[in-house]
Amino acid sequence: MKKLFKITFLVLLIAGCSEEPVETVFFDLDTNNGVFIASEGNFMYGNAALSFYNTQKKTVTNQLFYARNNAPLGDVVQSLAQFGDSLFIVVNNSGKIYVADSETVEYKGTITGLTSPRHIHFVSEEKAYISDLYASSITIFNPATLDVTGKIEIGNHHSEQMVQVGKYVFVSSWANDEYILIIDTENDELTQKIKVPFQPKDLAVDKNEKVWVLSEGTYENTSEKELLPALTRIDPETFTVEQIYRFPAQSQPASLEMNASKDTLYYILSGINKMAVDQRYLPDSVFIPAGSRLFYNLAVDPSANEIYVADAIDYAQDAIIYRYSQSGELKDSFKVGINPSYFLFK
Amino acid sequence: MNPLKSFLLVLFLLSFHLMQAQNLSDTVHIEEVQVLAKKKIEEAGLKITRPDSLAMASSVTADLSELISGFSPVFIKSYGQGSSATASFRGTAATHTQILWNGMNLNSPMRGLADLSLLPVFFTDNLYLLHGGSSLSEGSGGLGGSIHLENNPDWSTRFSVSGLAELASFQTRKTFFKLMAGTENFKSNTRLFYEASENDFSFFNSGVIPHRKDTLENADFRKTGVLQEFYLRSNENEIFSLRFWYQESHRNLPQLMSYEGSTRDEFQNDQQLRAQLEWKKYSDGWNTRIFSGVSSNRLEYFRATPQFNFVNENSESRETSFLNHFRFFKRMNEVVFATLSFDANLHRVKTSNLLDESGYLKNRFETSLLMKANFKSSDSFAAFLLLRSESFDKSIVPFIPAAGLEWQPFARFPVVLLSNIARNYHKPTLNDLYWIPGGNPDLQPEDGFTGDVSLSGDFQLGKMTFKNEVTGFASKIENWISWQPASSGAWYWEAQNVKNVFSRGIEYSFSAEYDWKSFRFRTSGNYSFTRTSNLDAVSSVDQSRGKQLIYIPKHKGNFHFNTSWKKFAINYSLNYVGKRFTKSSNQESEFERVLNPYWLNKIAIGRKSDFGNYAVNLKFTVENLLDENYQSILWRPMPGRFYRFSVAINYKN
Repeated sequence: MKKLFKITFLVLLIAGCSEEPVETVFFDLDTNNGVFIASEGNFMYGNAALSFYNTQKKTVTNQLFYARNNAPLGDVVQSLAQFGDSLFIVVNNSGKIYVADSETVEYKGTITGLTSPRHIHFVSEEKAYISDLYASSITIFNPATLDVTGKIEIGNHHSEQMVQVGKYVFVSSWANDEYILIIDTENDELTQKIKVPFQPKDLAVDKNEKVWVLSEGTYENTSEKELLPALTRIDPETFTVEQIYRFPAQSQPASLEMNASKDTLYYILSGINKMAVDQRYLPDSVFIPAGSRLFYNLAVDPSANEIYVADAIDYAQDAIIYRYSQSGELKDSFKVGINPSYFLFK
Repeated sequence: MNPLKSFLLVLFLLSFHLMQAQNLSDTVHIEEVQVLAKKKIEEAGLKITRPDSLAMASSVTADLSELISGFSPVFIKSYGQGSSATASFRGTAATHTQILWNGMNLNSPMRGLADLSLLPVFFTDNLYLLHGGSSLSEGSGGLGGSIHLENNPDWSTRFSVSGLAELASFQTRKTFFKLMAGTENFKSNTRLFYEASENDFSFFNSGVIPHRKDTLENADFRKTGVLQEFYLRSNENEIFSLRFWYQESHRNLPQLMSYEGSTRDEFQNDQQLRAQLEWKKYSDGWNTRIFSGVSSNRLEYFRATPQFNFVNENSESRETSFLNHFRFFKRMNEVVFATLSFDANLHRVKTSNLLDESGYLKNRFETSLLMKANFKSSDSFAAFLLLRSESFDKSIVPFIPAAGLEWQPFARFPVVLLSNIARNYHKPTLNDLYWIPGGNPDLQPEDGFTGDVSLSGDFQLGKMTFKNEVTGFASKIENWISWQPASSGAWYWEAQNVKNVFSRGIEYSFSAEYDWKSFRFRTSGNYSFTRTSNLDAVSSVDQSRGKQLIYIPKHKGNFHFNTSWKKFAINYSLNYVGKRFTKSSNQESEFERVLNPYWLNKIAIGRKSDFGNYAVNLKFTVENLLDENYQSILWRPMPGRFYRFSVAINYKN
């Protein structure tokens, strides 16, 4: 029996030993020739990830942030933004924004105390806005010091995407709302709002300086009355809706993007669709059909005009990014993290 | 050394050592043993496990999730002390485990599952688990199995009162009280419990930069409940029972380790009311049982960020179920026994999002008819055949069959072969169908086949008893329902029939008892190997095909060793949970999140004192003895080493 206890104790001791810490990996990314890709991961799993794809070498590096800083990004990375040599990583359900060096991905700082941050819009060297899904205000911070310097009250609205034309920032108020909010960047106040089709989310600005809005409409089984998704064009001079393109019932368009010359819109609906900004009707055929793939997000490289689209596969494993030429020819594919949410081109 | 190997080595060495010791000292007499003859005929052919009295006694202050995790092969997915916990039998989902209290199903008709952390062991007298298709003898929907809680009167005791108080780390305090009183033919049992904890343990936070020592915030909870039972026997064979169970809990919900946002105010309140009126009659050759009951749940969920003056979620759901059961058992002749049962249940669910006043109100009426025949041709062979027919909403499932057998091939050798096979199905929950947003009214029921084969042996070697049971199982479930991000890219998740899942594996359990002088040694353990994989791949690039489902460990085991000497007792427990994947592709690297295996050691020292009719038990327990740093759920911290001290006083007349 004594011998048995000894063996048992030994086995437990071995089992109780902790594992070796993970070694830090150092990077020197060629950010002039590549794209950062944020993968949001799964809600409440804390498994968001950051990747970099080098377009020259056609190489992808995954889990950049964890590898360099020995810490996870957190729960649901919503978007990325670059300002100077800093990369801002908006970690939605961790209520924070990580700031890292864009070439080495070395951690530089954190903006904490947010609630559900979505996107960053840089107004100047000293001022940037943070939109928030679960706040009745937009947070203002100083990108140089990372200090929160104020907030813009937006009443009963939320804030999602932001684009700027002149001195005005146009903000979509997405979940269960139907307004584009207009913020005057000189006094950081909500000056006006424009009613658009239900649940406006994605925004883009075209070559004519018109603001495009993709509204999701009502989702299936969420409401008695179905409100159709739509594309809306807004004149930012007069703050009026110029044109509304309604999508058919039961359709779910997503991920509005503009090409480099800002004359063509792209969005996901049964595949990748493209539409000239001066076209007077929605396209009647799909540019790149999704087939059995699950297109989750889309982006257009402003320098090469190449189209990047993410296939989430089953939402629970590493996604595939397909890279297409402007004419729709598949050029490359590579794997990143779970559920890619954002592409950042320099 | 691989942790699993270490674990198996300990089991093997211990078993071998005990066997060897016995062989040297005793002469083994082999006599004719009739293992099967001891069994109730209705249980013959069923794969059933019962945590022993030691397990029940050592878990009396725990909730059901801790008992099942510690003393059965079933895997428990727990968010931590006091937080929600669900059971996964044989690699299936939480909704595939049915929980029954005195025959009444406690699974939420809205969510499909039951939170085991809200079921105190103290409120249970008898507990058993039916694995796989065996659960069909008591109800459908248990694709993995079912857990049965029972309350029984103790007719031998006229009056007893007991109280138990436990103090533990993190300001955890628990109080239990039980009063039994009555006459020869009438009994009243009253049980009360109250438990509360600040649950503010410190942990090493590797989810933020820089890493730091943190204290868990907003994880405090309190639970309280009362169970009142009345039993009346009009004569020896007829018993009326009236049971009433009310319970409520308030639980604050902590954030993930990586959270550094504005303070969130997030909590969940649960209220449950269950009442049951039951009549049982036993006669020579037949018995009857009828009950009617009501089970009502109210759940409130609230989340806000006060600093931003924003309420994210404020929802309430109310579920009321009226449950009715009739069961008739008759011995037709010496060989054939028949059971007929009928259930008719009405569920009513109302969910309300108090922010936008959305929600749904739905009723579900369901019936279930069971016809079962048991055969027992001799003391060495028994079998059963059953057929269930069910209806729910507008669907009829006419044919759910199951069959099983139990056979002791050699009269002198106490080894029994047990096997059963069944079809089973699980209907979509009301949330799966109607939740706003994301519910899918077009969902198909989950449909499966399951089977298992067991070999068990009860050996008596002199002063030592040694029981072993090894089971191989396989099941295939089609139309597995999963909630996943909306294909539209919308902010919500939606329910889909997405997978065909094949689950197979092995369950092993053993127990041994040995007396030496005034010492008594008892040991027991369980081990399960579960391979559960998705057979469907969404597309050619899908790497989830054939891979282990996320959050289901392949290996899980527990081991217990108990020594008692006079009035002292020492319990040692070891629990092992193997690696769990969090990606459907099972990908792992240094930076990918895989939940690492963990071993939890626990030791308890107790002393019992008797003073006439009084008995006093003192117990001191060290949990997580080796201060293991582990995660049960991704980025949810778990406590390191902590302590419990309890005092129990019993009076019995």
